[in-house]
Amino acid sequence: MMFRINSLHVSYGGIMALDGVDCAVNEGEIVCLIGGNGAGKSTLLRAVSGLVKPAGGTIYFNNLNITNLPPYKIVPTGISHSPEGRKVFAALTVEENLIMGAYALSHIDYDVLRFIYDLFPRLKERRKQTAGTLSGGEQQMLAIGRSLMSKPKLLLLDEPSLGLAPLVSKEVFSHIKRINETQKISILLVEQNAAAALKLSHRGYVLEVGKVVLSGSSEELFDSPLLKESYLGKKR
Amino acid sequence: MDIFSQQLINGLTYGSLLGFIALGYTMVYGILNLINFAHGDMVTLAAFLAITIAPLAVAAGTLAMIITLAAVVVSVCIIAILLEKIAYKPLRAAPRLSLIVSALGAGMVIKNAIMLIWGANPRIFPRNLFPAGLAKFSDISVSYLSVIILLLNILVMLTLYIFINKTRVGIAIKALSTDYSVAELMGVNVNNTVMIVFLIGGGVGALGGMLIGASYTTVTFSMGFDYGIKAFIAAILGGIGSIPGAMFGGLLLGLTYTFCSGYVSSAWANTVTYLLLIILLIFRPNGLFGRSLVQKV
Ligand SMILES: Nc1ncnc2c1ncn2[C@@H]1O[C@H](COP(=O)(O)OP(=O)(O)O)[C@@H](O)[C@H]1O
Ligand SMILES: [Mg+2]
Repeated sequence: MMFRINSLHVSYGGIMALDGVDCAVNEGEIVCLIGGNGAGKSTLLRAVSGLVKPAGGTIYFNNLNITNLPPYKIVPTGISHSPEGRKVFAALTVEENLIMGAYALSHIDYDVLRFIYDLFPRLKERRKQTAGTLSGGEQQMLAIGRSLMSKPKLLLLDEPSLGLAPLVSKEVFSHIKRINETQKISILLVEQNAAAALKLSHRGYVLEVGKVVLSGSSEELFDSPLLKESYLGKKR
Repeated sequence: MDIFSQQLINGLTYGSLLGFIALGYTMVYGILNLINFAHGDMVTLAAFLAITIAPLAVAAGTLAMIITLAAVVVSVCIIAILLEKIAYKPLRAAPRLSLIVSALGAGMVIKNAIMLIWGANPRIFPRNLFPAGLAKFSDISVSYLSVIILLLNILVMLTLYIFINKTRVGIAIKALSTDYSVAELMGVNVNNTVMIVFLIGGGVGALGGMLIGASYTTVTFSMGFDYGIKAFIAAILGGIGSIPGAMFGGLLLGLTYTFCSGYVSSAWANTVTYLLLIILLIFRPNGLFGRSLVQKV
């Protein structure tokens, strides 16, 4: 197992956001994390990338205990986190944003840059434009591209379809699939859009108020009563 | 020499001094959203350290100036780093208000320490630290000190410009001031970067403190307040968070103040200056070089 979380606890000033979560990602897998607002999905990703310190539990990546490492030591191990809301550097150009993504490597891998521009030709067209002027979908592609620049083995994506029109979301999801297939990058995908996420993923976890309430292969989850009732019904 | 040229040089000199101090405010604000109220007192501390160190360095002859400058700048850099580690770092996740209170407290500690060590009376700043005398450019004569101050201003500005835009640490500083947690996700070492920012702010501020001492010949333990406030305003005028903004904000404030003193009256200089600045901020709320905060989201 390349990536494994054991009994992860995170609290914000005494309030438990994650209450003993177990989760794993195998090499080459896309694993989705489904759950409503406030379930703790972003918190889980933030704990993995070191932005918040866990109160308990362990996180292992390629047999390395990364539980209490600061983010700048986690990125070089091969984990890259594309945060919720994209968070591109609005005042920098598209290309400067991508170069920032390679900060941890301390050099720019032009093969990766070329791959990103092939994957997202619109980013290439707009590479001299400031990121703030891009559309929501383009900013999402830029955010994903930026997180690829550090050559991760595991990509953490927080709600890449947030606020995007259905057609644009679909495009983003197909890019994610392509990254996984052609670059052999494992992906932990956080989504509120359960149907789309399950279609894309090999396996999934359902998180409710800081606990995993259900997990399994995407097919199993699709057929589970809990998902049908609470998450798949309100498909947009 | 005509009055206008004289005022122009005085204004540029005064503005450069404010710019040296403003830089520390603006860089710390840029990455921590913190107004480092202790900064003005650090600047004062530099002037007093020079009072103690200069006589010791005189034995070294012509190198005394370099030795004193280097010793003071290094000491203040170290103290600035300690200030950050002790007063600010433990509060990094705390509400900004707690951090501001800590900054005010740290400022008072430094100010009172200066008073206890060097006394409450004004002290004479060593005269031999910088070359005295006048440089003549056709019919305009300028003190060597002003020439040094103006040259240093240009030098510091260019060095920082290159440093911020071309080096890895500079890029980390830029990323941190744009978005703290995203910079972390890019692999920026936050603690080191914050430390370097305090080091630069402290070092350039120390230079400013000594040049203020040399320009005005006496220094008092409480002078950090007035210079601090003016430099802070210069930073806001230039657009807080912007490095060229701090330098140009300093120049703008220095020139306005000096010309008001010269052509209106020195009693009215503060009033007229701040009135003009308020008007400027009404039309450019983010200062000369400031990013629009709305756009930042
Ligand atoms: N910085 C924070 N401070 C305090 N509470 C937080 C913070 N971030 C998230 N929380 C709380 O933790 C819980 C989980 O939040 P989050 O991980 O953002 O959920 P999700 O991403 O699933 O919507 C929520 O109850 C949220 O209010
Ligand atoms: Mg979230």
